[in-house]
Amino acid sequence: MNTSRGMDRLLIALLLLSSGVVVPNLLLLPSSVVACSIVTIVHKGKFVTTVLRFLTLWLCLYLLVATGRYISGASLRSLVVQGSGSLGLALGVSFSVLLVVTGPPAETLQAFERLRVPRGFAYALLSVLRLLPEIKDVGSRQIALLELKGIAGRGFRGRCVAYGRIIGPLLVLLLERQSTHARSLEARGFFELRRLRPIGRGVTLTGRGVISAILLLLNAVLWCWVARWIS
Amino acid sequence: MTTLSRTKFLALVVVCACLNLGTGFVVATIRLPFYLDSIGTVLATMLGGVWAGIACGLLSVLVGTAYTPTLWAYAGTTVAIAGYVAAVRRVGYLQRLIPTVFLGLGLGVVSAIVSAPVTTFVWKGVSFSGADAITAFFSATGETLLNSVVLGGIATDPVDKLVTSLVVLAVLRRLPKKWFEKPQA
Repeated sequence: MNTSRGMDRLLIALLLLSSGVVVPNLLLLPSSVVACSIVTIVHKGKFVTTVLRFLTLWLCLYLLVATGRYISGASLRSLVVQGSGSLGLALGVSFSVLLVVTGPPAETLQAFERLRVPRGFAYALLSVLRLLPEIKDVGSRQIALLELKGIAGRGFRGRCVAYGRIIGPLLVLLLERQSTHARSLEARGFFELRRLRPIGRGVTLTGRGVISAILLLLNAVLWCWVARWIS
Repeated sequence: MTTLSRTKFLALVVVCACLNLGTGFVVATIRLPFYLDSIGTVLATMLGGVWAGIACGLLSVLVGTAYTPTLWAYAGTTVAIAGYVAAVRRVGYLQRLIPTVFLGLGLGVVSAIVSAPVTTFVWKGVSFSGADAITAFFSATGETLLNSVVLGGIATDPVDKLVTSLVVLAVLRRLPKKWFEKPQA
């Protein structure tokens, strides 16, 4: 298990979050493309799917907000140059979470531990991320089953009945998985373990992490400068 | 605080956050005209108290933002939902049917009022949901944007929260008694 890689991921997530807030509106698109390319190239293409999904999401979101603002009288120039903290934060948080999600959970947990993030928070975050695909899987199977039986498709009432029949197995699955998790955590003394070394001593980054961090910083600075030049 | 209570608290928060996010997926797939995205928050508040509800809501918002980028701005709404549920549980909410119905509708009104400033000032009135059509209708009648968003929310949220409350009531009636022992935050 490599703690440094987890730390890289957290640092990159933090940088992406802050550049989302700093870089203005439309310039977020080229800035994000460059940022994603940096992360993808430096980390050997491990984030390609994440990046594509994120860019599609962002483009849809931006087009919606920009259309609304344009209709309500904003100029095209302001749509490009003026900053929108909310949109940037949406972008930054979304990408940062996606980046943390795609990493190996053990590495991320160790990295959180080094940064003195409460163990309970890190555990809860990673548990939810791990359980979500299972929930989707169970949900899809239940829906397919109900469609085969002809229950799910029969109007509004049928859909409500289908929902009622899906939510039960979902809750049972979740309770079962989490009970097992909780028991194994207690058996291993998860919350009684001593903390790892204090912050600062154990925090190390890989070479790739440092390179991508520097490139991301330069990227943010470059796009801020472009915004100033345009305006 | 014992280790057991802490583990139980975390397990509850994780289960309910997953329920919030997973239910959204199921609802979207079977095309129900509700969001039902706060079932977990209400359930966590009922079983674990206000802190469990807040933790569950914030965790759902954090993870959900990866899939719905606009969600982060509604973190305050989840906190308000947990606070409201914790406040009204003493008057029979989610224990008897009639108070559940009325207080469930009240939950919708609270949720609409708390969400409205966020939708208005952060997203300029666009909530990326079906309520936008109702907001546009009120806006066309000459109401201010904030009023239109509040009215649009009040037209849609109470029904959603009523259904949420009824689903949670049904779930609570089927859960084993041991889950009602309140864990400590």
